Amino acid sequence: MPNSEAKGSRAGSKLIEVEGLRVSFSTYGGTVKAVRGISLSVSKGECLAVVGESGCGKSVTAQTIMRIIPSPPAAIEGSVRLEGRELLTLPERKMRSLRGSEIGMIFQDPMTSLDPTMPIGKQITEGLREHDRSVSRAQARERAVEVLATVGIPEPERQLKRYAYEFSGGMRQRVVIAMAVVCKPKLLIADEPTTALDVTTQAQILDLMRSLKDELGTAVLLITHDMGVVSNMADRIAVFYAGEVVEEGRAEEVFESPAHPYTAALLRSRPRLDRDRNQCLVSIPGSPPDLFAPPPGCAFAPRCGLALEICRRARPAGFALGESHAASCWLYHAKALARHGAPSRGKLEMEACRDR
Amino acid sequence: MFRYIVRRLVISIVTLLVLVTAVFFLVRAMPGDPFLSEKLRPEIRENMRAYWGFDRPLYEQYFRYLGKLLKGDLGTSMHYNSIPVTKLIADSFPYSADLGLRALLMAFVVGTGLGIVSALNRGKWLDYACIIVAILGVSLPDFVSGYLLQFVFGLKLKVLPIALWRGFKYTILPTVALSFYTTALLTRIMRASMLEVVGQDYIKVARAKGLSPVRIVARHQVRNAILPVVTVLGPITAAILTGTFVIESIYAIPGMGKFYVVGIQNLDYSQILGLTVFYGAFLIAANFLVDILYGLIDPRIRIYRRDDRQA
Repeated sequence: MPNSEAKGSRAGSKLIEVEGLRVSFSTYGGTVKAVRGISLSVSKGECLAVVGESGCGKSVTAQTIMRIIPSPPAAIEGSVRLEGRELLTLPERKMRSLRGSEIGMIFQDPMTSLDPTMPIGKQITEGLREHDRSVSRAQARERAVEVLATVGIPEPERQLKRYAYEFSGGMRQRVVIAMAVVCKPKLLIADEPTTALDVTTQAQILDLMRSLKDELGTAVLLITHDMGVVSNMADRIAVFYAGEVVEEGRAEEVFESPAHPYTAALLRSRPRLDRDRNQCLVSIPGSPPDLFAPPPGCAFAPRCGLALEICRRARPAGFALGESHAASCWLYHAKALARHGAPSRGKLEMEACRDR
Repeated sequence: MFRYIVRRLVISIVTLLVLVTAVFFLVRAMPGDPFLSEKLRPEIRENMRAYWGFDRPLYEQYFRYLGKLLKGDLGTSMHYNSIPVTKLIADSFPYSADLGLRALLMAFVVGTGLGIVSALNRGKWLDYACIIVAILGVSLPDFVSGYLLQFVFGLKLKVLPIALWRGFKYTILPTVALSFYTTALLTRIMRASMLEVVGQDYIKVARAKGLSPVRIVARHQVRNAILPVVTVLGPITAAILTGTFVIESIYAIPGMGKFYVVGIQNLDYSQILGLTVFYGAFLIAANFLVDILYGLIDPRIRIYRRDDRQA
């Protein structure tokens, strides 16, 4: 999202910057435009949460940053910079030396993220020794024990020789995290790290990630569709919809004064403990657009109760709403503001979710 | 693990017993007897039958056979006058085993190798080449490929001897002919398995760790992909063993196959039974070994065995 004001102020400490990223896949059914011009950035030691429903391009963005999406068949445009270094054009050999060492990644399902035929100790040390050949086996082993202790695995020395199936889901995710942080990466990409876990385990894993972030100073790109996870972890939030960023801001800004109708609708559809339990859960009517042929205007317009004439015709630019807050929505264009005034949260929530 | 092995052992023995019983009665159910073909005077034939105990009730013969079997006595061949079947086996089995092991090793190495190469070059000409070889291998019966190889390399090109078993050069053609089918089968299994594993999350994780492609393939992909191949090693050993009958006769190798065929032609009860029991025991043992090997490669199998014990 090209809102330069919001980003300019902290440009110096940017760790990773994604600009105008487009990713599409050619399939037999046509070309899927999975990511359609995404810009975001994560500063050192910061946690940016990327929020959105399934298929909005969150994971594709993450895997494009890591460059583990095979290209071709994926067509990738735009720019991804790690501390100013362009990653998309980096030779594969150099990119490989960054993977795991500067950018670590945690995947969604701990049940399938570990190789079933290799002891976990070896899975942790192999990344370490790949990046630094001077590390001896003993040193690597020591480091593995250390990192297992950091992620809260009891008696780490005894666990090295054990296999993935000997651990529970939560423990496996800890091992997966240990694998990702063993080289002390500057950026940790967590792709729905808690989705496959039960709620209590989720909380423990989030606690762990927060303490890793604080202790190691690792920046985190947290991908999730769970608002609860976001409020727990994130400094800033980027809301994705149909391969675009529709709103971006500091966590409290987005939570307290969501600007985009989609964000408001998303927040309203959270199940809440303080409501009448007999009340139906709120959902957003309609379904996300077909990414084979995305609409010419705002992708959310067909589902939006506040949509204006222009929303269906032209894609909105990002409108800055404050120092760090911005939304891609025509409602914040000067003309719309002059005619209707800024929409209140209540109106956004009611209108955006109204059943039509 | 120990109790699992004991249990498997008991099951193996029962299997062997069923095999012996079935073959014993089936052989007797065939029309005629071992002495019918020889033009003998009826009283001499009766004497022969009495000598071999055929005048006794069938169940008595059966239990006497079992009794001898327990002592490791497979009886004496009726056709080759009073040569013990165990001696026939001892003389000929080393040739069959030598040929079989060579073929098995070649099928395993070449088959998994081609499977890996094929999967890594998916959709490229190398892949198609491997697939064509694999289809040829599964479609050509060994008696066809055996003669074809003799014809091309022995008669036309004159680079390899066409028959007999007298040193390394002589082993090449029979080994290739015998392992062709199995090689093709393993290529297909390995290729499919590799392609399945490459889509697994842990391969993506390995890539995200920054491992080099060679290491990903060697450490993670092949190791996981080879499991289905190990599973079929048991049945494949059986296929290669039965294949030796044909190949041995095509290449005039003094192996066990000949005695099997001659035994059946002559209705040589003890020879058929003895060889069947031997083959049976051998195959059961091979499957047993494969099971243990499987556990060594995939630790999860070991835990199933632990569960097994508790059940």
